[in-house]
Amino acid sequence: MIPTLECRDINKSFQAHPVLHQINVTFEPNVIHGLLGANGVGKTTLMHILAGHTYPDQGEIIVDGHNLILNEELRSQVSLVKVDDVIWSEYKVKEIMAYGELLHPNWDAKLATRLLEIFKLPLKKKYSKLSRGMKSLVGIVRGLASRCPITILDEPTLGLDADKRELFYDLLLQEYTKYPRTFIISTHLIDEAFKLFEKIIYLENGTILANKDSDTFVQQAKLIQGDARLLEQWAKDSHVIHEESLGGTLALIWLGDLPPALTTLLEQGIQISGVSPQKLVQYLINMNDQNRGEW
Amino acid sequence: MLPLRKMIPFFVMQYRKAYMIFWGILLIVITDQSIVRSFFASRGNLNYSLPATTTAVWIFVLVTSIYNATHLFSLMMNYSITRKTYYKTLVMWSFINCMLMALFTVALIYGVSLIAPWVGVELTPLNANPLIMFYHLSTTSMIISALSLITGALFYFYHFIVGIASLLLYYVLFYQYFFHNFGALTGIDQPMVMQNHLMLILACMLFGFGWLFYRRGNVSTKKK
Repeated sequence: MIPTLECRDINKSFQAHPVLHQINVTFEPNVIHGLLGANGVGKTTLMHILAGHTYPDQGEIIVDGHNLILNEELRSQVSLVKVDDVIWSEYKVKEIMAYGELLHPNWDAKLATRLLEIFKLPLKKKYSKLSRGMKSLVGIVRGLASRCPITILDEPTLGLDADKRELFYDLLLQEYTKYPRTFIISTHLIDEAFKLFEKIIYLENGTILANKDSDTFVQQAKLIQGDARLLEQWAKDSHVIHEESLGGTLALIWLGDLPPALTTLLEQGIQISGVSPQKLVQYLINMNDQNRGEW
Repeated sequence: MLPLRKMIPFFVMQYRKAYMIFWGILLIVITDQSIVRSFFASRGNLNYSLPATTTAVWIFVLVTSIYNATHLFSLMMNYSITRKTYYKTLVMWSFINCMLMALFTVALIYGVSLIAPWVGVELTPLNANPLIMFYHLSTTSMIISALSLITGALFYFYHFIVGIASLLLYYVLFYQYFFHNFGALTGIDQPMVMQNHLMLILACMLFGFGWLFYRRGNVSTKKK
């Protein structure tokens, strides 16, 4: 049975600099979660805390009803795979896999061999001699073959070409269908990875801004475009997270439910459509940056 | 918890090559000090090579222990091993490592002294008692291993300077003592077994102390 992973009131600072603040989130079992947000918002720190690599300053990590911080045995339920980790530098690919087989209780050696063949990874090459993309592939093989009930992948597609990324998404879905488990994946290639995600956790300045089903997350934003004279009055609304004007046309990105008064503008030629997940995250990040006033 | 029968092979895989190289070099050095030199001098003397051999063993133990305490901690955390399992295995492996090193060194020295007459070489008899030598080499290596583990922890969890300072401190406090007392501690006439017992107890205490660093230690995320 796949355990539930829960964060309760997690706070973490590094040298008096707060990185995570009051994180409360539940990662449901057998669900693929997307952990999104700008660089430096605390995604990796949160992943380290979830995997028990780093202790939070305050708060609890609950795995299957038990506190991970007090009961470290639960760590075997969680696997964190980082890309381009210096600790592997001096090891050959085959050694990394051999250690996985030895140390991961659910390691699937057949799957590892199959994936190594699919990705054409050189077994006798040292990790430090691999390209960035190949290092990512080694991480992917480790993550999938570990069959850990909760697998956390930190930017697994870093440096991969489009073809390999698609292959990874397909393999992940195949693996997930065959052996359902919890995945937590952080990525900046949101559009193409979005099909994997069932839940989205969006981090901003060390806090969770959104924790929604992926469909709800993306459907909450609308692109409204049309005659600038009709839309100008709406541009200052707090729901607008981005605006662009081109000639007499104005485009607004609206976050939240549309008011009836706005939907009636459809009859006057205003167009309302969806926003891609990548764009939505980009607008959210920009809005946050502008609010901070540091740019 | 992951069984030790899986953890110990992990260490064996890690150090297989290092052992082969180290023991290979040790064999060459000991053979050179005794059999080869006896062809040029009237009589070979293994007693002279004892301090050098033991120093080499201690350095090997020191380096591997620091490596275990730093690099392997990050590595094992990446394989979802618990801190407790990591530390327990590490201590167990350190004991095995020290005893293996002592056993092999003693076997090598006494092996050479036994083989020498067969190849027509006359060696000065060894002053040390093999059992006491094994015990002494094991216990001193264990202390070095435990101290290096703490040094490794200081390097890993604190600053480089703190680690270096601890190494210098150990050198002043212990190394001189071990080195200059080796003859006395392993001598056939007056085997100072009690000192070795105390060293074993001290090593166990130091290993226990080391746990304090790892119990709540964070995995380093620094890029080297």
